[in-house]
Amino acid sequence: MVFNSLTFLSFFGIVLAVHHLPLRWSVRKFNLLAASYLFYAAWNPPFVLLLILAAVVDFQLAKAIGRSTRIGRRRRLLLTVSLVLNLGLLAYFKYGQFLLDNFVRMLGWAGVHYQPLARGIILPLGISFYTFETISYLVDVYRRRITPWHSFLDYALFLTFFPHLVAGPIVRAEDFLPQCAEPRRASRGQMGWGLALLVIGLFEKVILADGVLAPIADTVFNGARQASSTDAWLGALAFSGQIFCDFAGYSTCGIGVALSLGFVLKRNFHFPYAAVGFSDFWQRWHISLSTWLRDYLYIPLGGNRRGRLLTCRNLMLTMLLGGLWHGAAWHFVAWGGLHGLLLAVEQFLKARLRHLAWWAHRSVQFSLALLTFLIVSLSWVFFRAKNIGSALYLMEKMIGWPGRRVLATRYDLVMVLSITAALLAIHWILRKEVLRRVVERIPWWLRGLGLAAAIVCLVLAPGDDRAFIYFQF
Amino acid sequence: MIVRLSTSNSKRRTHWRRTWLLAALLVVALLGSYELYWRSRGFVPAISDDADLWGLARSRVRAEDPGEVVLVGASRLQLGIDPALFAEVYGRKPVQLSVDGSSCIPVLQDLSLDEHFRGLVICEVSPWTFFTGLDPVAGKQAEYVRHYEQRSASASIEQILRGWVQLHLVLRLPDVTINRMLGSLFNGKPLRPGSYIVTLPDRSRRADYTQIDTADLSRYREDRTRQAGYGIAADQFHRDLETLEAMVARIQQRGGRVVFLVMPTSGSVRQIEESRLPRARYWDVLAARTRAVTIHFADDPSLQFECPEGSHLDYRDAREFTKALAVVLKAKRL
Repeated sequence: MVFNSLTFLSFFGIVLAVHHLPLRWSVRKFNLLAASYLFYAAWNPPFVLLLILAAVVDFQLAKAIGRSTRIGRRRRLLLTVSLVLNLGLLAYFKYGQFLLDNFVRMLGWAGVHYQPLARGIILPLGISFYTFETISYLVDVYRRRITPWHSFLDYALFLTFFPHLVAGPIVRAEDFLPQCAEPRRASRGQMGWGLALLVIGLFEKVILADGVLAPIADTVFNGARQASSTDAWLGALAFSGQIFCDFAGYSTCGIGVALSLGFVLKRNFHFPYAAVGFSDFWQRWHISLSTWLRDYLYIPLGGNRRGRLLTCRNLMLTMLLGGLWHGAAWHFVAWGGLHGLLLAVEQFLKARLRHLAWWAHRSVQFSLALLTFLIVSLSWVFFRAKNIGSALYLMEKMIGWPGRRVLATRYDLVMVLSITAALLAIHWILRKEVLRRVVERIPWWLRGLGLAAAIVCLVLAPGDDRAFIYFQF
Repeated sequence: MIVRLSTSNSKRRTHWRRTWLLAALLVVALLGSYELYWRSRGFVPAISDDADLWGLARSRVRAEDPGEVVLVGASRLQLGIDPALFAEVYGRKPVQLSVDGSSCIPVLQDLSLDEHFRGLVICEVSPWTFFTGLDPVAGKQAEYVRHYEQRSASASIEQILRGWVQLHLVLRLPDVTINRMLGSLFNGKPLRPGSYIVTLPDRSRRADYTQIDTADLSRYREDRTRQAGYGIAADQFHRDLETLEAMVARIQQRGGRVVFLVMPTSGSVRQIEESRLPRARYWDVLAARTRAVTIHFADDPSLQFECPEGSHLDYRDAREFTKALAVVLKAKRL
C-alpha cells in the first residue's frame, strides 16, 4: 500500500477514526499495530511473519543482553547472535543473488562454467529499514545507552509503525518507545500540520517526481547510448529532482501521517540541495541513514580520531557500505565510493581553505553550494543508471561540450530547468529554517489557498503508478 | 531513557482549523467547477484501460474451472465482443484480456503456463502480429503480464476503488488531467471532447463510428496496416507454429480448449492484409497444423460484417457478431 493510493486514503481514514475513539491506550496501540501489519500485508502477506519473527526474537535478545549485568562474553555472544540473525536475513534476501552472480562470474573468469539453480528470491519490502532499526536498538542496549523496553506491544509497534515501515525514516528506539508510554492523540496544531505534510509530500511525489521529472529521466537513462551531452545533463538534473521529490516526499508523508496520530518522527531531509560541501550534504540528505551509519559504523571504525589516513579509510568504508545498502549492484557501490572519495577530498581541502577570509563570504558559499549540487547530480548518474557501463557513458557525455538535444524535448528542457531552479532557490533561502515555522508564518488564508491548489493538482494528476524509489532498498 | 522530541514550541496561534476549512471549501468549489465545465463540453466519465484494470481482469480468471472463457487478442476482439450478450447466448461471461495495438502471444503463454487454468481461450489471430514473427516476452501484453505478476496483494482493492471514481468523475479522465491541460496550453492544441470508443469496467470496448468521420480513420488504418510490413519466411513461420502449438498443447493437456479466431475486416485494410499476409500462406497453414479449433470470419456468413474503418466493428455490429460467434462455439461443442 503506497501513500499515493485510494486504498491508503481509505485505510488512513479508518485508522485515524479508530485512534480517536475513547478506548484504552493499550487497545489503541494494539489497533495501530494491527493496522501496521495490515499495511505491510497489503503488499505480500507471508512476509508479515518475518516481521513478527524479527520483533519477537530481537525483543527477547535485547532483554537477555540487558539482563547480563557485566560486560563480558555472554553480552558479546548475544549481540553477535542478534547481528548474525538480522544481517544474515538481510544478506540472504537482499544480497544473495548478487553474491551468487558475482561468484559465478568469478568462476567464469577462472574458466569454470557453473550454472546455479534459479532462486527467485523476493526482497521483503522495507527489510533494510527495519533491520537497521532493530540493530540500533540492540546495539544501544548492549552499550547501555538505553535499557531494554518492558512492553513487547510497544517494541513491535516501534518496529512496525506503518508511517515509517517500508521506506523510513529509520527511527531510533530512544526516540519512539518513550512516546508509547503515554496516551497520544494529535493536538489541533499537530493534526493540521500533519495533514499539511501529507499533502506536501504527495505533491512532491505525484506531481513533481512522477508527473514531470520521472518520464524525462526515464527517457534519457533508458536511451543512454543515444543521449547528447545536453540530454545527459537534463537527465541527471531531472533525476536529481526526482529522487529528492520522491524520497523526501515519502518521508514527509510518513512524518505527517505519524504526527496526525500524535507521534513525532524526526525530519529526514533538511533542504539538501543547499548543502555547502558533501559532509553538509549528508547532514541534510536521508538524515536518519547518515546518522545511523555515523553512530553504528563510522564511529566504531574509529571515526576521525586516528589520523587523516584512517579517517579517509573510515569514510570510504562507510560510504561503500552505504552505497551497498541502497542496492545489491556494483553501480550503487560505485556511487557510495564516489561519495566517500568526495568526502575525503573535502576534508583535505577544508583543512587548507576554511581559515581564509573569503571562504565564509556569502557569494563563495553560494557558489560552493551550486558546485556541490552539480557534483551530487553527476553522482546520481551512477545511482540511476542500469549499470556502470551506461553510467560512465553518460558521465563522459556530461563532461563534453553541450550538443543539440536528441532525446529530450523543448518541454522537457523548460520543465527540468524551471523545477531545478525553483528547488535550488527554495533550498538556499530556507537552508537555516525549520519548515513548520516557515509555513506557520504564512497567513492562514494563503496557506489554505496553497493546500487547496496542491490537492486540486493531486486530484487532476494522471494516475500513473510508480513505486517510491526507496521501496526497492 | 532520554526523550528528545522536536515538537514545535511556537506560542503563535496558527489557525490550522481555518486553514483546512478554507482549503476544503476551495477544493470542493474548484473541482466542482472543473467537473461541470468538462461535462458541459461533452466529456463523460469512463474507466481507463490500463495495466491495473487488466490485472484486475486477469485476477478474475477462475482457477480449475473448465467453464471459464477468456478472450485473448488485440483491439479487434476487444471491440468485437459484447461480454454480457455473449453470456446470454453462450451461458458464461468471458474475461476480456485483449489489449489494443499489441501481440497477444505473451498472454496466451501466461495462460498456458498457469497450471490452474483449464478453461476455453478464444484467441484472436491478428495477421500482423501472428505472421510477422512471434515474441512471447516482448510488447505491451508482456508488460501487462509482468505487472500482474508483481502486483501487491491490495492491487485489486485499489483498482476497484479507482474504477469507481473513474466511472463517476470526468475529472479523472486521462483526457483532462493536469498534464494534458499543460501539454495542450504548451502546444496550443485545445482538448477535444469525448472519444468514440468507451471502455467498460469488464474491459470490453464500444466503438460508435457514427460519432466521427471514418474517412480519415480508414486512411490511418490503411497506413498502419502497410507499416506492419510483410509476413515472415516459411522456416521462421514453422518455428513460430511450433511455439504456438506448445502453448496450445499445454492448455489442452489440462483439459482446456483453444480457439484461434480471425476477426472481420473489410475494404482496403482487408485487401492490404491479404496481399501482404496471404491467407493461403499463413492462416491456412496454421489451421491445418494446429490442434486448436480455428474460425475464420470469411468462412462463415454469420460472422461477416462491415467494419466502418476497415479494421474494427461498430458496437451495434459487435452485438450481432457476438451472438453469431456464441452460436458457432456452441455448435462446435466448445
